[in-house]
Amino acid sequence: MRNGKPIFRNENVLYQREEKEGYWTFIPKHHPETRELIINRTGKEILRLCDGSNTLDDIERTMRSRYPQVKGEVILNDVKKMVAGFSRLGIVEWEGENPFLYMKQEPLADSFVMQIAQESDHGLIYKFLEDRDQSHGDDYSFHKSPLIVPGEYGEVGLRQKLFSFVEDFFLLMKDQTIQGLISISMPILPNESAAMIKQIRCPKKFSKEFLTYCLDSLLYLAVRPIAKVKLCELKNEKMDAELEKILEKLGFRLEGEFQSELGVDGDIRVLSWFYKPELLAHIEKVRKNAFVAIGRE
Amino acid sequence: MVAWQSLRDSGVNRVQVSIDGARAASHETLRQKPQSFERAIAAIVNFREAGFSDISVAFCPTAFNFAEVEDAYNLCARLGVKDFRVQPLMLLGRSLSHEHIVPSSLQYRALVSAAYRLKFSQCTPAQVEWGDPVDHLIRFRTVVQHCVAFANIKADGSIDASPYIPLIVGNVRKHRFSEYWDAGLPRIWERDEVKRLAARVLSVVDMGREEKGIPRVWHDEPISIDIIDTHLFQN
Repeated sequence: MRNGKPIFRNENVLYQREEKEGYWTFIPKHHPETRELIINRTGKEILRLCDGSNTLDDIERTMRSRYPQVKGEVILNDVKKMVAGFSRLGIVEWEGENPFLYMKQEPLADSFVMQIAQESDHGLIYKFLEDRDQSHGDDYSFHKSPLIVPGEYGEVGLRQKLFSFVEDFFLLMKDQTIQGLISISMPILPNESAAMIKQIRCPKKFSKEFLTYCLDSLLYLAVRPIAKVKLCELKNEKMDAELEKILEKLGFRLEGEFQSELGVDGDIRVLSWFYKPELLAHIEKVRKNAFVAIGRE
Repeated sequence: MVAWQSLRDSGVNRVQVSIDGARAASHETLRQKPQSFERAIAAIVNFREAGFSDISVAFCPTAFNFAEVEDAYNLCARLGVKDFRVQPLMLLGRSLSHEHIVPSSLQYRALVSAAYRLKFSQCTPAQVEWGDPVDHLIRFRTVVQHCVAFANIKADGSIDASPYIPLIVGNVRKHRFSEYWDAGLPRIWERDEVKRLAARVLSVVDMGREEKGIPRVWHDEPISIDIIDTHLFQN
């Protein structure tokens, strides 16, 4: 079913509590390291509509009819933000395909949105990388893996990455133009299980949220089994302190150092972020079910 | 058997058969021809018996058969197929009116994931390839434009620079193929008109896109030139 229908899974909630003034707190079962999620009364209404019988459009329509005094755009953003966020954390699952994994954008502040790049975004990405290869303002988080080889993101190389899903590109957009990008490549060897962050180019104010979005979404998208995400940097060319702090907050930790690696000019530090085994098992199950369901159509 | 054998004796050393599912129902839903699955399997068996060792299979994924890719691969491997090539369904020609059967992006991911599993499994006798029909349109116009060792001759004798751009550059019924080759066919991608047509296509969805003044591949009459008669590479 291409136009999937979200389903709230109470069994995927570790803890929920009603707070004052209609607010609710949730702790997801498969992301116990997270994040307390706090939603208001409207959020709870949206969640109730995620019962497997409504598409995203149905939910939006219902909410518009309930709140005619609120701007349609605001309602649409709330619905998207809520359903997309809860989907990433496994509290909302989908009967059919999750549209946030290929066509729907997840809203952020200031009209910025996050989306997963598709094959047809080749031209936009190529241009963004070409225009911004060296130029970044101070308000940008920037990382480029020292393992990138010259020409890797040329027209042909980029096409190969997008077509074969060997590298996933996450886009930060505003007014249909790319404002930021994070790319994560898949493991290459048969027994390898580490994905690798190849590039981060993102306005600093969104770095944490955008990185979180990428790490959450990647497991649902990866065409190879992965258990962790690593980031390599040259020891003598460290990333800016703010980005390092964000990575640390997210749970990246130093996994090792490699001296005089072939092909790079210096020693390399490897920072890694590990998916929890229970999350890996859960998403494996979700993906298998989705595969069976869509194969049956 | 005689026909298969004579094909081999005439110098043909590689053949490709389309198998679009692990079951007759899926294959025949796509091909719209009863018994076509059975006949495709029989063709592979006959090629094998005639001594062909380089047999490849093309699998065209759709929204209704993509989940059968591993079973289809295993079936082909048992039949002695050497290469199993999967390429996205393109919205060209007849498929333009069947958009609903094109796999979604997530279905393609599931398919590619299966291809990686097959590729890395310890006991895969046949090679599996996720083939990109757009790659050459980018590669030929950028990095290897000065010598492209590829040409496509259609059943009517016409030669194109790529099956995915609407341009015919000659016909073997008019001149010998070797004459086209010597007249500059390997350099056809140096031409701006060829590059321009190719540059319109950066993804599979671009292929069926309508654009004023440009014929659609496999749908409209292609632009036709003859590189010998027009002395295109005389200088």
